[in-house]
Amino acid sequence: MSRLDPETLDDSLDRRAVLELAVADGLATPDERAELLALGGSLDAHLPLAQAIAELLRPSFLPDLAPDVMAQVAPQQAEQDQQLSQALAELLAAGESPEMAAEILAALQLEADPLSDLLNEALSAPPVDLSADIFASLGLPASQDEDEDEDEAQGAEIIAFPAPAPAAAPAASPALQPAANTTPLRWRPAAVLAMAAAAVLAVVVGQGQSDPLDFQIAAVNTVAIEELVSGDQVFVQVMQMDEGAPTIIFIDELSDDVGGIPL
Amino acid sequence: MTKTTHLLRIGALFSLLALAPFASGTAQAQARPVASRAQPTVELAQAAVKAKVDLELRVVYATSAHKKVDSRLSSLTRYLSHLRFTGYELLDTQKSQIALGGKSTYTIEGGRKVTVSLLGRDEARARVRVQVSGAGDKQLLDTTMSVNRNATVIVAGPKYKEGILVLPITARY
Repeated sequence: MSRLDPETLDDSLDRRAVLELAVADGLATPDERAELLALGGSLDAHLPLAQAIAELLRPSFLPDLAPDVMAQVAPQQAEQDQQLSQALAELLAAGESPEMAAEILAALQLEADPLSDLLNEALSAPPVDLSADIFASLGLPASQDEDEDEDEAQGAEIIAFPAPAPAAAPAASPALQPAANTTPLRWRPAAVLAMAAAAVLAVVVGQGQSDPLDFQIAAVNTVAIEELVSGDQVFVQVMQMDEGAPTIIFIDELSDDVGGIPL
Repeated sequence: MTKTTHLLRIGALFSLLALAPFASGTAQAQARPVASRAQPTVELAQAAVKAKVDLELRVVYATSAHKKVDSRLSSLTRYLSHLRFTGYELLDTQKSQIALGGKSTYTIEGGRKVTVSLLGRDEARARVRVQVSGAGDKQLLDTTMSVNRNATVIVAGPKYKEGILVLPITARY
C-alpha cells in the first residue's frame, strides 16, 4: 500500500482531516502527528468512529475463539465466557455431576425423550422372533411348537433359536414381512446338483467307513439240511420265512416248569 | 504317391493291428518260462487261502423287555420279526477262518458253545456241521447242512436273561 500523499488528496478534505485519517490508519509520521496536534486535532479522534464501525460490523454469533482473541474482539462476550467457565468449575469442584441435559432442553424449549430413556426402552423390548418368517420363506413348517420351545429353553443351556416373542409384542417388523411382489425362494439347478453330489459323496464315504460290525446278509441264503439231531428235552423248529431269507433253526429248551418259549 | 501305394500302406497298417494280439501272446509265451519258477508257490498259497472259509458268528440278545434295536442289526431284524421279540442287542461278534476239514468252537453267553466244522465246499456251496451245546456240554443241536456261498443261517432259542440268544452264522469265501 502506498503511503497517502496529502498534497494529492481530494479538496473535500482539509489538512486536519487528512492527518486524522493518516493517524487512524497508523500511517502518520511523527511530524504529521505533531502537525495534527498543532492544528488543534486529536490523535484519538478516530477511536469513537472505529468503535462504532466495529459494533456495526460485529456478527451476532461469535465463534469460539481463544480467550485472548475474544478479549480483543468481544470483551463483553469474553467476560461472560469467563464467568460461565468459573461457574462450571465450581460445580465440578463440588463433586456432583451436574444434570444439565433437562435444563438445557428446557432452556432451548425443546421437548424430546432423553437418550437414556430411548436406550432403556430399546433394551427392554422383547427379542424379535425371525424363525417363523425364515421357515415361511423356505416353505418349511415351523420347527416346534411354542410350548416345546419354552420347555427346552428352561432346561437347555444353549438355545438354538431365540425365544418366541410374547403375544403383546409384534412377531416381526412389517418390513420383514414378505411383500406381495417379492420373488419366492427357488432352488437353483447348480445348488441342486451340488447337493446331489454331496449326498452321493456322503453315501460313498459312509459305505467306505461303515462299522465293521455291521451285519450284512446276502440276498440269497439257501440252506439244505442233511441231518439234524437235537438233545433231550429240546424241541427244534426250522423256519423259513421268506424266499431267500436266512433259515432259522429254533432251539426250545424244554423244562419241567416251563413249556417252552412261545414264538 | 500313387493311390495304389496309399491303399497298400493302409492295408499293411490294419494287418499289423490285427496281428498285434498274436504277437503279444507270443511275447507272453516267451516270457512265461522265466516267471514260472515262482508262480507255482504263489498259486498254491492262493489256493490254500481260498480253500479256507471265513466264519462269522454274532451273538444277539433278543428280548421283550425293551424296544431298542442295535443299528448294526438293521438288516437282520426284518427276518426276526416272526419271533415276536421287540428288542435286539448285539452282544458279541466272533470271526475265524477254517480250512477244509477244520472246525472252530466259540464260547458264548450262558456257558454255551457253538462248534462249526467245514466238511466241504465248492464254488457254489459249503457243507458245514453246526453243534450247539449248553452248560455242562449238554447237546442241544447237531445238524449238518449245505449252504450257498456267503449265506447266513440263524440258530436261535438258547435262553438268556429275559429272552433268548440269536446266533447268525455266516460262511464267506
